Amino acid sequence: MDIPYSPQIAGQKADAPQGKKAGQKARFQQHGNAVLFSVFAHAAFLLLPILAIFIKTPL
Amino acid sequence: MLLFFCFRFWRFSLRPPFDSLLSNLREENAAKAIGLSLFTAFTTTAITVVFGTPVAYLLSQKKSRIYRVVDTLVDLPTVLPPAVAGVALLMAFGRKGIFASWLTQYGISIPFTTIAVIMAQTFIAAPLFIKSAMISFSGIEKELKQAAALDGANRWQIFRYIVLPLSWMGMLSGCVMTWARALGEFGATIIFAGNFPGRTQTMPLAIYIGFEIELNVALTLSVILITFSFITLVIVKNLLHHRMQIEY
Repeated sequence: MDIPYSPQIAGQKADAPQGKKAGQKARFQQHGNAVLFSVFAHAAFLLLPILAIFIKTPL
Repeated sequence: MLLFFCFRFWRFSLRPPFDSLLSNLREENAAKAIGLSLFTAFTTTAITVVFGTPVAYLLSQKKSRIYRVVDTLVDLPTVLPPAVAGVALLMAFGRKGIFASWLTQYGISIPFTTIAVIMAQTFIAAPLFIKSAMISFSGIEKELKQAAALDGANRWQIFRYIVLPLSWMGMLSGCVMTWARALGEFGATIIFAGNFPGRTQTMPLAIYIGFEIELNVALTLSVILITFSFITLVIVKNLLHHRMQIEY
């Protein structure tokens, strides 16, 4: 059976607001910031130089 | 084929006689190039592991459209010619780049410095680690993570005690490949960082300039790079073999 990850089931954040969105928000605040920062920092590092070529190319 | 490569390697490594090999290594520029190459390759690998691991983990978990776009973006440097990557970095962070005024305001100058070498190497070599780590993370059974979550483990604990022990070999082989690719980076480095001995002249650049100035030093550095590449391949193949033995 496929059981989705849930902080409520896992015994954490017992006082967290109920509901899917509230749970997602709590999880994001708990663990997501550093991971998402890495993803966007890496994506920006790759994307910006590519964009720079298009910006600097005379049309 | 094996005989051919052995013969080429034998001739190549004997061309600078062994007694002069050490004296070539003691050449100031050669020693600086080796030191700088090792320093930048290790720094690149460390940066890639720190920033690339969360990227690989998230990309292995998420399948939405935005993550597919990020995935494509991560793959882009593997198909991009390194010279284009060098020009792109120069256009972004160079003196006439799109961030030039902002960087000048803070007194930061990136091109033609050691930082530029590390940036060029990271741009080119990071996808190797991310792809390898992504494949390892994707291979872990979902049920294991769900069981840990049901037992009260948070995401960090799941990563630390479930994901990391099961995928360390893939991550390590990715590290080795990234390190080797960074060590051999040439195109992006020469455009974005230039060729200044002691500052930006890595081993491949010293080999390039060596053909004009000192052939024996160039050959000695080539022997070192061939040896490093061979050792890298042996390590990666052993790790993959070990992983296959565990899986089957």
